[in-house]
Amino acid sequence: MIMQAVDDRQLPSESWIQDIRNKFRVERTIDECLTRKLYNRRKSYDPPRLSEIEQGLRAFLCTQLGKEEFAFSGFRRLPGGASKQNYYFEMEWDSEGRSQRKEFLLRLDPGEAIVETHRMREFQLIKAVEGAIPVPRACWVDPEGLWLGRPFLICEFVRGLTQPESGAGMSGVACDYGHELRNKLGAQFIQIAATLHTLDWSVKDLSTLDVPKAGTTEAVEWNLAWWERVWEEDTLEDHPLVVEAHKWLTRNMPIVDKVSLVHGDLRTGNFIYDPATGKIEAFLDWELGHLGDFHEDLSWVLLGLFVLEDSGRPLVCALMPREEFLDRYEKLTGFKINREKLHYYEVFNNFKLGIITMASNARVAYGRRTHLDTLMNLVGCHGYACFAELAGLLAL
Amino acid sequence: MTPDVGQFIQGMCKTMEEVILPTVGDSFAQEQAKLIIGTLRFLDTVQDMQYPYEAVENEEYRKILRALSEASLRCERTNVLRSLLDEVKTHLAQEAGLKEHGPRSYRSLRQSNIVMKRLLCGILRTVEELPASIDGLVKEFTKQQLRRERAWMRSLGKDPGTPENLEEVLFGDGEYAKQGR
Repeated sequence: MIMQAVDDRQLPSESWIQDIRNKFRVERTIDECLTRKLYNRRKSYDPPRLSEIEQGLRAFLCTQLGKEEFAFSGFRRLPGGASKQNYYFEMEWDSEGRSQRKEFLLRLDPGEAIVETHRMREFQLIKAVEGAIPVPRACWVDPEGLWLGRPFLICEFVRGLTQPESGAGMSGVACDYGHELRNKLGAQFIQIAATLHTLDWSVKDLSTLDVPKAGTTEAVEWNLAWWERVWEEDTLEDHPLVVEAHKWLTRNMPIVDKVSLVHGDLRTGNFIYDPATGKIEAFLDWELGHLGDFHEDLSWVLLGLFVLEDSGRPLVCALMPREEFLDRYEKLTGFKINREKLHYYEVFNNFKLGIITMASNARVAYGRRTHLDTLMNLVGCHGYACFAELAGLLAL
Repeated sequence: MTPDVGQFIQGMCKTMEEVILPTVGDSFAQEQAKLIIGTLRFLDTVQDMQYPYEAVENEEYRKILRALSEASLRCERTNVLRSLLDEVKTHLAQEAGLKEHGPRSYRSLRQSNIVMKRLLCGILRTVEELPASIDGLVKEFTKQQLRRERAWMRSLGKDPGTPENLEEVLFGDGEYAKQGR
């Protein structure tokens, strides 16, 4: 452990935190959760026991349901997921004279996450797309962490798989669905992307999101500042490629003509499907959602990390060839994809994913802030592949 | 040194796989146990490369910083640049002194490399445009760093590309490679 060189980041002083906040102009609620992360680092992390979480959760539900009597069962921690702690539980209660029984998922912030995001943003984003896109129904949220010591979101539990039970790597990497399932999932996947990007977000309650001006680079500036700030806060060591990439991204910021709702992590491994029917039951992980350019989501789909080689044919998100994906998306949306913008966001997304994996994963494990520190170190290794792709895109 | 680090790791892997994992019922704990085994296997492949990795990186960083400190760099923030270059000179002088004192600890190498990474990136951030010859050196230097980093993680099998063998990247066709491990 090399403590001396990274102490400023691990034990940030008040002035260090304020300097960082002043240096980067990010969205209000992004600033809120990144700043909370820094203050949390100054405290010790004592993860609550499973029984303590259950107790707090029962008390919260009691208040929300307005009754003390309800059947609560099956509470357990779930495997999978690298960002938030996921817990399963079932409830049975009476509502308006009818008995209801439902399964739920509790998404609880760990001591520090690989992406520090705002639970109210996630809640509002899920609500905004509910009905248009299959999502888990969002039920309750505690963005302040008043009940369990850390912020959380509760949604209905959706049964199914996020990737095939065999032959897949971590979180959608090297995921092979096989020919038949791939075709079914691919069609729905493009439809979901098209629906999201054409949705009229202006009529939804998205009060936690800052709204960038169309016809400017504002959305790009905020987004770039977000990830540059994360690098500055989290990295264990500097890297010349990050400096070069940031210079390039600053010099080449494209104008956002049309402001769309952007998922921010649109890819394979982030949806639940029924393996029997091939139906996508729910699209997940809305925590990185924001308002921006649809090209950003499209280029995330193209990321090399999620490409599957199928008999020498590269399939983006393990679903279909790159050009087929882009053609079908254009036909569904009526949008014209700008290849220069697509390239910009490919650079941006490798920069972003490289930062999440190289800086944040490593930092979280370094600070021993989660119950998933082993996984954090392993996921961190993906960063070097992102950096290699980034260097290629920058013709280094 | 008996048992060596590799033997310790292999012993832990075997116990985890054959004794502990079969008795773990909880799916979350099972997942974590498998991740621990995967990590141990990875460590077994790279543990004896950690020191040479940092030693090679140390050499490379000293070379590039020396080249930068000798170049005529220009930028608007001259005071910031001057302060960084002064720090580079001091650090390189300390490094030269350390090299005369024989074997060096891993911790000392690693700490020095972190400092040199900060200095290099500080200069790159401050100087908007490097002279062409230096720019070429920095690009080549960055490429070599990326080669090492990908090779370091190669045995995890998580890189969709084709990273090179770590020993070949670190030692090339040198004496070490000829001797075999």
